[in-house]
Amino acid sequence: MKGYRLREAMNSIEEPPLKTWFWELEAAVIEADRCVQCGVCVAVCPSNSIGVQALTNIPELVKMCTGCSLCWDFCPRAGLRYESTWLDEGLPADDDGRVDVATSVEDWKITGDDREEGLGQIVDSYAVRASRKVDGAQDGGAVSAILAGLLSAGAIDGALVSKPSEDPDEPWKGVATIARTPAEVYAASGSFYNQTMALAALDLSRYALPARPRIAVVGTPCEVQGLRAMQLRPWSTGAQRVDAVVLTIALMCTKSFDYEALIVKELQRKRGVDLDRVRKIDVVRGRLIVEYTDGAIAVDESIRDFHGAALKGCDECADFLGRAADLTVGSVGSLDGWTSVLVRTERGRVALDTARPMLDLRELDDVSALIRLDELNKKVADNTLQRPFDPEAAMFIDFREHVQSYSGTDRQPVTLRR
Amino acid sequence: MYVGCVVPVGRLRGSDLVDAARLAERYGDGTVRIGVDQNLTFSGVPEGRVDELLGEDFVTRYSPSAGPFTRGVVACTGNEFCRYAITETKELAVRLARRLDARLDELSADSPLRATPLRIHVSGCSASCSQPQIADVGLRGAVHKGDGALKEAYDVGVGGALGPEAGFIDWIEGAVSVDALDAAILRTVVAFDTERHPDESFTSWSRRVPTQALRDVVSGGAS
Repeated sequence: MKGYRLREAMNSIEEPPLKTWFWELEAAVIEADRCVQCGVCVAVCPSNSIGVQALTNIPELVKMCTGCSLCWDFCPRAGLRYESTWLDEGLPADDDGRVDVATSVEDWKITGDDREEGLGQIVDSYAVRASRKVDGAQDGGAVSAILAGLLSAGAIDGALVSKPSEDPDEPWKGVATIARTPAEVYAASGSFYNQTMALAALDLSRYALPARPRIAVVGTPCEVQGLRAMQLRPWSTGAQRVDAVVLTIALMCTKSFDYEALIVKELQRKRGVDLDRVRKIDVVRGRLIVEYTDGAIAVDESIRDFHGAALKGCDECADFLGRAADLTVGSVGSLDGWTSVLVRTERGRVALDTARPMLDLRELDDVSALIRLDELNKKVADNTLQRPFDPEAAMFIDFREHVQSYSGTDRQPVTLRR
Repeated sequence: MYVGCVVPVGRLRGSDLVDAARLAERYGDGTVRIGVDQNLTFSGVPEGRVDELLGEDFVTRYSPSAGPFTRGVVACTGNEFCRYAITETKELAVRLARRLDARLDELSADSPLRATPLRIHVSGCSASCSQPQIADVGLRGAVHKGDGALKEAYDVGVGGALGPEAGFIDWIEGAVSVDALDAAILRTVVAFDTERHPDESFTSWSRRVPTQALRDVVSGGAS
């Protein structure tokens, strides 16, 4: 940032209070090691000035910062009060005997407010699996089947998913891509446990798509929070086509991992895992399991053993259940071979109905498992989130307020060397 | 002699440029100068032909005697054509200048602003394409966040100048919503008109008054 150091040295122009630049995001999130690599900052920048560092997968300024503050405002670890994006239209009465979330959850708000919201807005819930087995799929293969069903029905033109990196030096690294056919969806099936800066991949210019494409996004809760907030903007700018997103599917998530730390250091180097032989990496009932193609189990350890490889910023998120999404999916709450699906919106319900020919559906097995893990996740967030947690408060938090909350903690903004 | 025409924010049609070239050939030395103030000047006009030139349609449309705010307004391209710009600039700048010109009556009879253009430079981002840093009033594109809703907005600065009082602007208030801009600028010029010392320029006044006091004026209340 030599250019900016020069600019500062040349003049003594006073800036207005609360003027916020990319540097604030850099100091409070990126360099403070709190970035969750969702890509919101890249997607929201009107001038496409933010790129992604190839080696570290974190945001960097690649062109002039115009000082619009949007990268700060929409970052779920900075200006975006992520809980304000949660859907809040109330819970349906449990009139079909499926999920009684409204009465089965006691006070969950980590601020101690007595409002009961349980698992967030849910209009339906199921255990789902693909009616045709999907090779390499996680759990019931429901997400792949839903997306393939929507593509086959012409309901969407593409889906933002993670696929294996084509770089031979990056085995088991997920990279974001737009799948445009069922075959491309199935080729990307299965989970990766690294963040992909997914929302940066909403630059659709390199894909052959209709002029007004309809895209489904499969992402972590933080990615869906950022999308939901960006969709509330009165204008659309930048290369990323947030306006094209017609469906969001949140993956249940307590934390995501740094690729180098988890796959390379913990699995390959420390435990000697032969990554070329791995068929599947999964987190099931609190254990990380690595399975080889011949069925042998390479690793079966408590996920706690790998927490050092997790992204530090993930701890501050109390949104295991992706409350801002149209659909939430994950293994928790269903028997092996099935995927739990929480339908949160009418859009989600229509999507599931459209993909119904591809799916087996039945009653969700164990709602209490969702509640237990959700509560555990909230406790972690309660211990690490330094600002007040309040879904009712204004959506945006300015830098000064952030500094007041985080100063003196191990998550405080760092001083940048320009 | 020369005749300057006020072309608000520099927007001319191609047919206007043809007209301007024709007038330069007919009345002047064949030269049309376009200034950094985005206005246009016919040079080399004999004194005896000035009145005749002033009667031409083009010169009537882009009148040299436009109001002081319209004369001084400058704007960059804005987000209509520029990826960096956060805001629309051209139409806003013209609208702003016209509204302020329409309220000249709120200034004192001997206000220097009645005769001297107040230079409002509108920039869609933090770059210098419209040189807001040397304007009397600089506007820099920003985003206003109120009640969770986003609106186009501008940072407001005052006190930039070239020449004997050369110096950069200070940015006084951040992210003033476009809805509130004309009132904010009007408050500022009225405050100058009321508080100025004899013969004090807008530049000198804005540098003499403490930043917080200027901020209170721009924002419309003690902040």
